[in-house]
Amino acid sequence: MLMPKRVKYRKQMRGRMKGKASRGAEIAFGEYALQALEPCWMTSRQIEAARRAIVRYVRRGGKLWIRVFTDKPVTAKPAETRMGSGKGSVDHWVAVVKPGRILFEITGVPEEAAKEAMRLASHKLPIKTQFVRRSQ
Amino acid sequence: MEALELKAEPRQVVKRGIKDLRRQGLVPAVIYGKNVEAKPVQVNARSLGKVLSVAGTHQLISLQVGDQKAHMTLARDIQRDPIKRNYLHVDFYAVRMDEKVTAQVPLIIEGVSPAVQDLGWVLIQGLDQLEIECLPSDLISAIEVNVESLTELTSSIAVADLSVPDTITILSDPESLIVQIEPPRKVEELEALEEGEEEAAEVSAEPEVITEAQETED
Repeated sequence: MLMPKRVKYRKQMRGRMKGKASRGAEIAFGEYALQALEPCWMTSRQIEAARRAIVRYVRRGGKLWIRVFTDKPVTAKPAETRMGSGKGSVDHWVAVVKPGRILFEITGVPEEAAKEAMRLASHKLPIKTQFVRRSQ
Repeated sequence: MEALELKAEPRQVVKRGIKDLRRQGLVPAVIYGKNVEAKPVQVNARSLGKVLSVAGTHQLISLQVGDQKAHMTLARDIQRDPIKRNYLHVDFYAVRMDEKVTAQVPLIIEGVSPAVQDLGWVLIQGLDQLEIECLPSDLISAIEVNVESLTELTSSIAVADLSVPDTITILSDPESLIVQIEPPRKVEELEALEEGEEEAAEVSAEPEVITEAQETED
């Protein structure tokens, strides 16, 4: 599971996801990429599932970059617990994704293969995405 | 290399009304440079798109503002919408033709490596543009990198291996790799990639919390 090794505070406030991504919105390493079109909290499981879908399709060849990291803890209270007695314990980790954010980048594969791999990966994600290439 | 031509109009709208300007198919821009006073201008979005798709930030653009004399410029800070990719704002830097400028020039891969075609190895591209310094008139549109000589495993082309005209100085690190041939992943590696991280998930507990004492140590 993707999560930080060290954190300054154990729990965080929820925050907001207004606007579009201003950082991480350009292709930096690869030739093709998957870009988010909606805001979301992307869990480490979703990212891992999408990564596996890409690796499984591309098999040999190609190099993959994951451009999002789950650094935000999400807390939850146990089931059937009365309200109160403080904030729940950390349940999972998420990455805050805004529209325009590049999620995955790939290189060293033909465009058709990259497109299909990204399509398969997009089915593992909770938001609409689009396939982008560097020259765009 | 010939400069591309672009027409602009002086811009009155500076703060409020920029969104309306964009809705009318115009892009706000600014022109500045040595001995050129910074001036807000507006350009047609379609013609700007055509010019920037060719010129990028490394080719001269002859920018004519109204009826004034044209300035030789380089597009510098190009702001684009991250999703729609339309232009939001462009900085035009007016260059002096007798002063050297720095620019990022794209690298174009030429040919197909026999190692990739025949043996199924993977060509990994490390750099896709180079920083160069030269007089504005000596700027080039791209630098070609021929990969047909890459026949062996781990053979590579570095920045120092490139041949460019004498008028151009490469500022990028000469030891940086542009392309390299790497072996494809083995079956065991693929299996490890597919399964490995799940196991790691079970092992990793909660992250360590940085206390004040630790912070002062750092």
